[in-house]
Amino acid sequence: MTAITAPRVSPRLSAALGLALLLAIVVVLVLAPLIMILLRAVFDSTAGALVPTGRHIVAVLSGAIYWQALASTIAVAAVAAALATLLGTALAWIFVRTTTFGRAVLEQVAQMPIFIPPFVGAVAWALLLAPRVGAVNRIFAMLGIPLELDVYTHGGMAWVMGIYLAPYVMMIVAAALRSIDPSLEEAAQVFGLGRLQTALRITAPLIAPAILSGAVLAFTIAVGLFGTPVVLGWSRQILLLTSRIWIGAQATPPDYGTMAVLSVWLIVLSLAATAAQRYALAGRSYITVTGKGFRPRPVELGHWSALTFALSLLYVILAIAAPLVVLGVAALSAYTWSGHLSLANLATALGSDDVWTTMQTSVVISALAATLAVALGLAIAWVTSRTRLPGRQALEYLVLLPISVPGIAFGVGVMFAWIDLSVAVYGTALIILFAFIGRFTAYAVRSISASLVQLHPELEESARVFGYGPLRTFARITLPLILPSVLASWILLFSFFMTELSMVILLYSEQSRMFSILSFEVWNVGDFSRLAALSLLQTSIGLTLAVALKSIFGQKAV
Amino acid sequence: MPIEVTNLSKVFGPVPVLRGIDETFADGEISVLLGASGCGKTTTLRCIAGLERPDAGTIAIGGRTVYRDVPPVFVPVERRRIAMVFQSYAIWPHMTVFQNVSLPLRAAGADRRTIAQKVGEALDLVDLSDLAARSATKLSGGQQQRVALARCIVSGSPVILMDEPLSNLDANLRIAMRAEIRNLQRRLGQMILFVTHDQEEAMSIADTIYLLRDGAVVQKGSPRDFYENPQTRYAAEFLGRANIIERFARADGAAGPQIRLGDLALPSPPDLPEGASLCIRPEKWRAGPPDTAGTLAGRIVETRYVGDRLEFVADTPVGRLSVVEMSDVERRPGDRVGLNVAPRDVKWVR
Repeated sequence: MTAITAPRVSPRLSAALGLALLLAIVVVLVLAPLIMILLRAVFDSTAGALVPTGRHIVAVLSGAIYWQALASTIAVAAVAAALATLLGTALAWIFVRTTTFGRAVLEQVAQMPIFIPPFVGAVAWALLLAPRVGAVNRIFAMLGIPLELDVYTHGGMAWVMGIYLAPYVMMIVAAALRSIDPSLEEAAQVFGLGRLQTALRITAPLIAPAILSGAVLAFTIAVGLFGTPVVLGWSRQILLLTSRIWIGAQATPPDYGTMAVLSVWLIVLSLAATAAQRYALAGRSYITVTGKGFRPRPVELGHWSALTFALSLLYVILAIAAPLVVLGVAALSAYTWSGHLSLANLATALGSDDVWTTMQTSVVISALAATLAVALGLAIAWVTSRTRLPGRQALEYLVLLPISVPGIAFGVGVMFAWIDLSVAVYGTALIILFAFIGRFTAYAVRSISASLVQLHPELEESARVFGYGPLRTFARITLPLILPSVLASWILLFSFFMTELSMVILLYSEQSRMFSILSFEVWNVGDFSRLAALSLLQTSIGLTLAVALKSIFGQKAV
Repeated sequence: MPIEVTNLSKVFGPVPVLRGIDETFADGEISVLLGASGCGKTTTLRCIAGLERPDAGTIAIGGRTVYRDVPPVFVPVERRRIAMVFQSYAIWPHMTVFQNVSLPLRAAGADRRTIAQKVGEALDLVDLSDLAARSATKLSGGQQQRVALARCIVSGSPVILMDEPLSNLDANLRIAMRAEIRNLQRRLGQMILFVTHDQEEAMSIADTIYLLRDGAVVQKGSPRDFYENPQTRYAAEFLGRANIIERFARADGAAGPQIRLGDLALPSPPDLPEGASLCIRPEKWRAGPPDTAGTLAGRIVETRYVGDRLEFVADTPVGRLSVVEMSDVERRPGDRVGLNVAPRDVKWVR
């Protein structure tokens, strides 16, 4: 019995080839756009040749309007992040650590604003708080209250961003609160600390890193938002960096140099926030948010629970109910606040060919991009967590880079990467596909890696021992066990893509006019009634996907 | 089938974990790889399974070479036709008990009737017939252990590897499962290569124990052999408890060389080399009244009553010694005793 069975292609060779292929894809889709941003900030492209130049940097550094945009961006993002952190932390505490009535349901509902596109949120709040014509201001006027709220201001922008970013902070802090071992707090009480003392000396320091992470996340998202600042800032020309980049793209010829330099600023801003967080947290991360949840002992609030209930309800009203109601009313009106509500208006607005062709384009591009990004993410997550191939860390590092790159900046990079090439990518739907995959595969990698890490390698090894080959083991053991996180990633990415505006606005062409572009154009011409109808449609798609996501994770948690 | 391993070597980064292991693990018995964590026992097992790739050496299972450094041979794990019980049991949570146990047969392409019959037999053997349709996530630790065993039985492999299979069970269940594994092995006749760090488990389950240290086998033999004739101080202390005596005197008596422990003079154990230490198991001592001529004087510093026996620690001229007595004599700290031991119970170790 000396029969030696050796596979035809060495498994080591095929693994190395696979890794090389993944690296090549990631370099083209992720690294190239990022490098192109830096390159186009200091080079001009004339007739295909790169000529070094300092004029773009000089132009931006000497332009007062750009310093203004930077100052506005920092101010608005900082206030928005502060508001989101305050709201998010309070909500997390209420939902996890108190006996507030209905907290389980309220927590689920309070996560929903994540699925309301920023552009739609801004439109709704414009309908609510526009000076004079906003619904709230009209109600004030009717009641004779001499007060006028104005959303078309720095403060208005920060307010709208803040309430829609609060759920991100809330989810991070809630996870941290759940992962604190209750015995840490019980021990403090045993040794004589009162309840307030325990909260201040034990609980607060333990969740401080999570609160800070949430704040930084909110800040970096706020810095990169495009829809909100354009909708709320355009009428008074309060322009943030993202708006300035878009203006650069509208110019003829497009002002590529300025777009590149401003994109670098955006990236520097979000990297600075992340670096500040690293510095503040160095060696102070006490709890792992991914760990198993404990069931903490809730605080008995007594009659204070009416207040916490009211606060959570108020948040749900501000972030979801009021915007939906005002969008609904506007969509049913022939023109804004005509007073005549009719379903016919909604039907007309949604029945046009334009709606259905752009919707089809959106669904096709989003589904394809989500599928490809999840497949790529699955391959990368598997390679990094299940092999010891050299180069796998580089792969993971590269693919996660775009997480701290604002969407519009990444879009600028993708545009630069393909615009001068003779291959037909720029001006086709392909470029949007590439941008989506490059920017968002990181999220699939993270979520799938997390569930692969939790999957004991012995489950796969034992299948191999009992006769399954590598592919069969992957298909029959690994994939079924991580399927919930694969599906969840797909739905999450699909819903991002369906409403993505900040990259698509730079990259779309006639062939790839997506639904978000249609909404943007309708906003541009000021048809708020039709805009409300389109926004309602977008929101209902988003919320439907959110519910689908919840049901997958509720059904089979890994 | 026997497993032959020659010069098996492996490094993790700069650290050698296996330093040229040369052993043949015999067919039809339970071989136990025993050692502290980091000694290389699990790496040896995983190399044999094909889950880890060695850096040098050869591995043959039943005469079939499954790994060789030059010219290179590496049979992938799924073609080595082995069975294995994992430390975590590795019961697939998305399958029922039946599906878990039948996987080896499905992998081999068996037909439906054969599968139903063989899985039924295996589940009978491990007393799980009632749970065939149950989801694998709804099993206790002991039941998962049985599913893991049934999976090995069904695979029909003559070689079963077990990686700390009992370490996640509570103490009573662990003892019961040892007996169960031994009975199954006696009945079905496979060879089992069993990895553990628990010396008691190794003693009670093994036909042959291989004691590993720093990636090499330091001693092998039957459990009795190990206990009675440890070759090294490490082996003596790892398996069972031992009094290691370094401070003893040598003398020449009328009947040949002698050793002296205080006033206790004994014939020297055969071939006692320079620099060796003496090894005496605690239960080999006989404690008598103090001040008896020709005994080792001791003063008790600590006693422990464990129900079926009394253990005490005594200070003596050759150091602190542990003694185990089966008697009903009352002992208290401060009491004095005279210790004696039979010459054949005095061993030497390096």
